[in-house]
Amino acid sequence: MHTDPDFLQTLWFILIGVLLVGFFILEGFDFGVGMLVRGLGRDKAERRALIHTIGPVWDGNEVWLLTAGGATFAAFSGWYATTFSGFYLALFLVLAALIVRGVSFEFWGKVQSNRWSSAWEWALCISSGVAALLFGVAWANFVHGVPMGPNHVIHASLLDLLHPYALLGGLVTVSLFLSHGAYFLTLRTKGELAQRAALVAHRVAPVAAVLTVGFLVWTAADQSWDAVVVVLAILAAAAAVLIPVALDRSPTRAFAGSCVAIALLFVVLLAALFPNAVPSSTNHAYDLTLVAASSTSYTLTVMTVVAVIFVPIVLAYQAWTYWVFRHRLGRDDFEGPATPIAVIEHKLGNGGPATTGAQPPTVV
Amino acid sequence: MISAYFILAANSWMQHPVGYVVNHATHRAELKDIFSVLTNSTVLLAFPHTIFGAFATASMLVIGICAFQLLRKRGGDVVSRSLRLALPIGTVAVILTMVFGHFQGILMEQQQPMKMAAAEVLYHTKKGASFSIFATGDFTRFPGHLSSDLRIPHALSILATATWNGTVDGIDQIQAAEVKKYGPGNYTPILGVTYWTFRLMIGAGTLMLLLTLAGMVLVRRKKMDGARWFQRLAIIAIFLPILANWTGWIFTEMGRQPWVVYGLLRTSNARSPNVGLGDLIITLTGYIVLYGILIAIGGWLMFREIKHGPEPPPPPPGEAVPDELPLAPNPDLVLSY
Repeated sequence: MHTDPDFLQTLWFILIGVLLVGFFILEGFDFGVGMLVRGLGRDKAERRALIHTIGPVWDGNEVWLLTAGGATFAAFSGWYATTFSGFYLALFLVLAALIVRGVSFEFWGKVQSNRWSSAWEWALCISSGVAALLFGVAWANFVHGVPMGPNHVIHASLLDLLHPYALLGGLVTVSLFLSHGAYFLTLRTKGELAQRAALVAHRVAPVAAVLTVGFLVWTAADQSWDAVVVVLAILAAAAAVLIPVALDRSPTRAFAGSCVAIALLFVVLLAALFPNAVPSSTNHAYDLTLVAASSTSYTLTVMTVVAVIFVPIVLAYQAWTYWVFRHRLGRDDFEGPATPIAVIEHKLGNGGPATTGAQPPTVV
Repeated sequence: MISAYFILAANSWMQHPVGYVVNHATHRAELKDIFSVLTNSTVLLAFPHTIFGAFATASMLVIGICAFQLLRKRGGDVVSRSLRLALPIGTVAVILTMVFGHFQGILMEQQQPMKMAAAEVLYHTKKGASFSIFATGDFTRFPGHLSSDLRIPHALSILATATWNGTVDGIDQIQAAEVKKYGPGNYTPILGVTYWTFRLMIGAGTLMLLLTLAGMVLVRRKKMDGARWFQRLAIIAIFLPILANWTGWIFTEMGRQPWVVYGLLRTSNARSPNVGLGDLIITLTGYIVLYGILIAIGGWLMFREIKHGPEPPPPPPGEAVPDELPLAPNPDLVLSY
């Protein structure tokens, strides 16, 4: 029964891992910026600048999660079935947070009223924090194992999922994403806003580093000091500790370090999971293995062909989005009645207002 | 369009599974041929039915908004041009939705005869079956007889078999046949639901067609601006395609019961044993509250935009026109975030 995963199964576990890591790196700074919108932006122009740093890209970033979920559904249907039924209420909360977050971007600017926009800023802030927390809690539970019998049916209430290890996992993702978002803002904003973002990063990054190291040690112990997990955990811990140091030298390096730390954290968790899909905390004989959860090799072959054709296309247009929206933003870009397109055209030197009647944005 | 195709291919597989083999060791259906899943006869008809339904929905929205502007005497070039575009597109879209729906009916009679019989509450197999327009029965799951019934002769046979005297299988016969095939059990969906959703869908479609045709005549005779009855009806008609969409999906999903995958997996076997009634009540309430709030806000924002109209309102008399007109009253509305 406990056979090793074959080539295609291993490949798709790695690909799902790549999608998840990509999601947490990209959506990580979205969550961070979301959490910082109220704290960092002092007036509406600044908050608008903050929202615009992720406005054009956040939905593309969230697609990585959808793709990871879809790939899990297709490649390891047993994994999907067990987790989505077992974490039913928890996933409802994640979904509710993501829905509120999504509409808060859309609704924020629709009504010219400070009460209206501040309500949606709070919605963005809270839903980003809740989503970041829940993802950490969920992943700590996935790796730690859940009460599960031989039929791979999880029997855990929502409160059962909130044990100390899982809560620490949640705090790790919240703090890491918060500092990650702050680093992102040091690169995407300018002037006072960028300075304030750097200050937040300075304060949060050490806390995130301590929490991450603690969580990694606990994970290594939880996995009975499995050699691979320990080695990866040391690397991840090193990355988490090094970021605050790197920030003093260059914000680019600090952001890169933050990406590496998040990536390694989830590589540790995925390595701890392999070759299981869902470990059972009741009895390891009941673990749901990737082999047992897997679809047929024909399905995986079809998926591989589709992925080879479409993933490069998706990556290309996502990269293009980041290229188009690469300019640093500050409050001065948003004081006039200018659309973001006008801002970009102005910065590209295409000159003049983009649309009739728009004032050219002033540049300091 | 591409994502609609794949979603409908997945749903069509649940209506009419193809391209799989059942692995008896794992008790599951396994994919054998992706191309037969993607070219399932069910999806080839469900896709155009859904897509033209979407075009019809958009057309009815545009027509309704134009009618609202006309009713407020705010019609202009944008409104009349939009009407001249949306009315013919809406007419064609509704007709094509109906045509593909008709072929779906014929296919359904072959693939899921119970769904067709349940749509009609046709208890006994009949040649030259008539189509019921309005019927009532006891308020139970399986009313044994109908109390009142208004019917169009032969129409059901034409709908389901495309022949005047075609045989349409009845519920009792199909039930007996399915018991023979799948073992003892109840294979009849809730008849009140299938009967009325089917009628509401077709009824809404028919009203949409009548309205768009009337609108085209009015535009052609240049009487649209004064036709207040049409303008009022067109505003209400925005909800007709939504009603047709809802009832159509409820019909096709409820009509498949007790199966979640027709002939392969019963809904009662597909449920998660660890998700209890309490969980379902919590999430269903949560979604209803969340979406209720979002629909209310979204609807209000849309209505505000519609009221604002395509042209900026003229400045109030006596007030000086500002030197610099902002490009739009609110630039954030252009790009939302």
